[in-house]
Amino acid sequence: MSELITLRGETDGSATSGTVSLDSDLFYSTVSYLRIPKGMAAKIWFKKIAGEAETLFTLQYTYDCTAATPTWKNIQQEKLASKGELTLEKRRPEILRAFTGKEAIRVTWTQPTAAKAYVELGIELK
Amino acid sequence: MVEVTDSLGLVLEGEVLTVYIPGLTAALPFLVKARANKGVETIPYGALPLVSGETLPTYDGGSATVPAAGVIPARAYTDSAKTFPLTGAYDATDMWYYPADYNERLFHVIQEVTPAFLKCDIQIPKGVKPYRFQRDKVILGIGTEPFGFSRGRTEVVHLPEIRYGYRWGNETNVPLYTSVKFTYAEYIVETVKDAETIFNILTRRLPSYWITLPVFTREETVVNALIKAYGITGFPIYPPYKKTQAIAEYNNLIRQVKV
Repeated sequence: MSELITLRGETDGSATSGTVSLDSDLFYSTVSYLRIPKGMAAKIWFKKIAGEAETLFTLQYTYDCTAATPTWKNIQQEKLASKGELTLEKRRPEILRAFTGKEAIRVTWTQPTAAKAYVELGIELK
Repeated sequence: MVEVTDSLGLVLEGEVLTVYIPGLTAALPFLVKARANKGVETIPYGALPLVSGETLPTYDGGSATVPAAGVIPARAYTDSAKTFPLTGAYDATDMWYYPADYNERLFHVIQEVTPAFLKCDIQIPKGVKPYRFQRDKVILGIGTEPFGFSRGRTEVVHLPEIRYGYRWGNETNVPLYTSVKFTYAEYIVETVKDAETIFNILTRRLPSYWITLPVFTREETVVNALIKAYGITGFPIYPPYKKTQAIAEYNNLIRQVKV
């Protein structure tokens, strides 16, 4: 069984870097990262970003989100060069696996000047 | 290959549904005479029966409170199995429970849960963890056990007089809204009563749709319910080379069959 989720998040408009709070129609409350169930994988099929100014969104992955200070590594980066929007569809998805059940993903942002920007990820958990 | 099910996975009229119970090494072959809900097989039930404020254990060893009806908290699971309430049902607290005198009815129930990555298992009877590894060395299920569950989907036949328990687990760090859709058939059935035919079904020489219930030990609740509803606990499985012995035993059992 698989479930396709659209994760949404945005910058806060006041800081030039940070971690996106992730939300979805399935989420009762937002989270700063999404833990992948053991034995499953997160397939990222599409990304949409939009914003009022230049923004770099980075998809990060950790092998252990339960660590006191998880080590996050960069998986993909998408840059909005200026005000506008960008849609990226994947014929072959990025696959992020959960080997132990402690793996997780998150999205961070950096901007030269703080502004509102938005990100959507189409993720299939399978 | 003869198709005995429709596009929903439900058994067609005139075909045979074989319910196999591993804990009894016996099976009950039912002839599906009719389907009482033909054409309306889907129940968009709604949220899982989780009550706001109830406490669930978590995979991290603590507990979590259900924040709103139907929301499964982050890292939480339903250690105590649930039933599905339905106003007006024979038992309003458990829509799939029905008594022995409804024994001409049989409910084939496919549960599909959203999100589909939730762990699922079914206890038959409610309260008995079904899956085991190396006899009883490891008891399995949706809890902290390493395996012994499905994700997002279950398929069972609800037998009369037995209360089934449904459980779910959320391994993610997110409290999740949930929903469940049932695809079901209310079959009008009778037990196959010809020993030769039963033998051919149970040796898979005749087509039938097999459902193995997750009952892997001898449960007296199940035994008593089967005897009350059907008069027997099922027809034992024999290999093809023991046909004479099988036919003799089946003929004895057929005389006790109630429906």
